[in-house]
Amino acid sequence: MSDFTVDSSFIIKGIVPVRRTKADDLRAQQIREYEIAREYLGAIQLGTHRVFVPAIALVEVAAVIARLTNSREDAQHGSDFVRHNATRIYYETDLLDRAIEIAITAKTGGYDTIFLTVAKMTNSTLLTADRIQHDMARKIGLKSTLLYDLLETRA
Amino acid sequence: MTLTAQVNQLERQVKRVEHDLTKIRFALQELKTKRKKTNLAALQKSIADHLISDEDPVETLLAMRRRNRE
Repeated sequence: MSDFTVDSSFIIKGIVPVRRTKADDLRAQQIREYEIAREYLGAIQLGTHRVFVPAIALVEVAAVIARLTNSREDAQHGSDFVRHNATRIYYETDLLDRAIEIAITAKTGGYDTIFLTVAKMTNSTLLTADRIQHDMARKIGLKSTLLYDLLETRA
Repeated sequence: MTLTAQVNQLERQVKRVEHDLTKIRFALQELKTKRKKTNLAALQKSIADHLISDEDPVETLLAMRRRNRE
């Protein structure tokens, strides 16, 4: 069993199927990323990993799905999926003091600081599809895995 | 009671409450796992049926975050 802090970018990558129809390298890459992220989400659903997320992840997942589908139900169910499968959801009050410390040390912005704080507090590996966030995590000594990098390991 | 003693007392209270909260969270988690969960495959199919954009979802999210970072 592994412990992960999962960024919203990784979650939505595994939830939202690829719609691009043009048969090009970009589509091939999107499909592979989707399959890998989906595989992780499936394992999480089975309880193979412990997953920690800040509450903001529920909001971001709902927002992205709503924007891409215009479906209230899908957005709500996407957010519910995260809520039901997270081992623990961290709220602002759980994080505030440590988030301020990380913001001062790493000079990171709001969303990034929140995810980095959860990863640090839980000593878990950050799973993300956001390269900027991944670089920030590595810079302050956190374990982080970028979805794009998993493509090479699965090649 | 000195300020230091008050701080120590409150810190002990915080630890006690945190401990209780942890136990409640574990109990809640157990109940959640027993409850019917959102089916991932069904959710993905529903989203696929409703997609109105072929934009990469990560790009959509990053566009939202970009405003925050700038």
